[in-house]
Amino acid sequence: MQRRVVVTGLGCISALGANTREFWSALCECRPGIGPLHAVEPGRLRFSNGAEVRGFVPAAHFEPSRLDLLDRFAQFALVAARDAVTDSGLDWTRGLRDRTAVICGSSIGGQTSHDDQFLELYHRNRDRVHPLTIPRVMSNAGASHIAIEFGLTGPTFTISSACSSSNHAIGQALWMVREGRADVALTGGSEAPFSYGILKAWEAMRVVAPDTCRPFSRDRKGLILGEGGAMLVLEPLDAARARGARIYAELAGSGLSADAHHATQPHVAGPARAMRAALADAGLAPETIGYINAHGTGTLTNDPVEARAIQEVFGAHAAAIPVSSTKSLHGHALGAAGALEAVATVLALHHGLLPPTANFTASDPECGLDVVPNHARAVRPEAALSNAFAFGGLNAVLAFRALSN
Amino acid sequence: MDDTLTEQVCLALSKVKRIPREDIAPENTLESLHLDSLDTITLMFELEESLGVTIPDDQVRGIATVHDIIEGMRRLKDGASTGASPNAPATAET
Repeated sequence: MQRRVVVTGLGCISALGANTREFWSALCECRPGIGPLHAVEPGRLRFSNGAEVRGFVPAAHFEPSRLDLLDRFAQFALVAARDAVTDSGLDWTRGLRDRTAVICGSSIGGQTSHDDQFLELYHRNRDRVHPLTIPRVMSNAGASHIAIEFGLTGPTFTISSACSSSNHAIGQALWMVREGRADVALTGGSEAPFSYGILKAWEAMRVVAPDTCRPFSRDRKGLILGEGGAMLVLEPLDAARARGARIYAELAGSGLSADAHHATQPHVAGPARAMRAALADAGLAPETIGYINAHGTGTLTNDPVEARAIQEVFGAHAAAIPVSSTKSLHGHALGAAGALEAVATVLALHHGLLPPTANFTASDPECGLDVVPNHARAVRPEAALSNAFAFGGLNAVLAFRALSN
Repeated sequence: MDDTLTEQVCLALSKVKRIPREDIAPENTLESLHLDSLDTITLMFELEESLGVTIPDDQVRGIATVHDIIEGMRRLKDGASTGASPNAPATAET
């Protein structure tokens, strides 16, 4: 059984706002969510900016007894899932709940809770940690709490592949729905990396920009960390049409590869193979791709390597493809990045409007792409790719095709 | 040449690359010592720990030789002893 799979619900919470509507408005109006970090007091880090979810009040979303079990990353997963489920208009029957998959991505899981509790042991010399530390910290907490909240009893798990986590999750969900192993999938990812320990670890990597994120610009200085969550509702095209659902786009393919090269250095061949695999899985000719949401971290090494990979895959057509990095707006949300960018890509196809690369200053000859600088562009692509390339050399690319009711 | 500083940098390199100290000389390029990006950030961590300095990201870019590192560390230590901020952007090496 090979079924076409479509996106019928979107949800997200990010530095760009509390829901999908605010996310899309900020993308289109090129309003970055990057600013001074509040999670850590000033002066304790060598960088000072991040893309935090501001104004988020957990108690407004969850009962106190439930919050005891929810790290910030799981809270983001649930908030995004609620948004996506409401948006989809799905009416679950018992049978459909049994056949709904929940597949989430997260790189570091409940790291904030980890930090808080181990601080009690190592620094304050206490003798015990909170008994709910393990269920808060576990990386599958987001997926599990989504399943519990909506009573979903199909295949449910979390994929962790650093910055490709969400794309691996969404790709897996696509294949499960396509092959009939599930009839609905709720899939995406979430991340909350603003614990002091994790921020210091990123500081030591020396890849965080002291100013802002300027992907593909000549004067780029690195990435800006972000946080949040995003979820997509996937279902077969026929089922979506039968229930009169709004169809945002078709999730047409997924391509995966490993560089087998280096723990952190980006590589041309691996990403190129993942893009080719996504095109082949989707049955899309390279010439049909009219937009790429780039991995585009804004580090010195990622951007030119990604540009070369795109040029290798698309040849002369590469110059005609608008390529933007929305990380310049919502930051690099690590394991949630692919999910946020999938929402951006789906909405770009749905609305015929390409989100820009923000903070762009001057072209880098090493990144010879049309990067949609600083202003959204009205274009109606036939199809689009969304790239995610992780530390560890793990690549996951999603291919979407424009499709509506 | 401050022999102590040279020795500290060469010992840090020896530790990070797990190669004999005597195989490292100031004129060596980092490329010839097969220092990749992870080795470089690990070396900066070792030097910050052993020398008590803070090495700005800007200073790491453009380092080509062991001598560049030694001179960069000398400037940072001099700056620290004259009260200059260790976080002030340093001149790019080479």
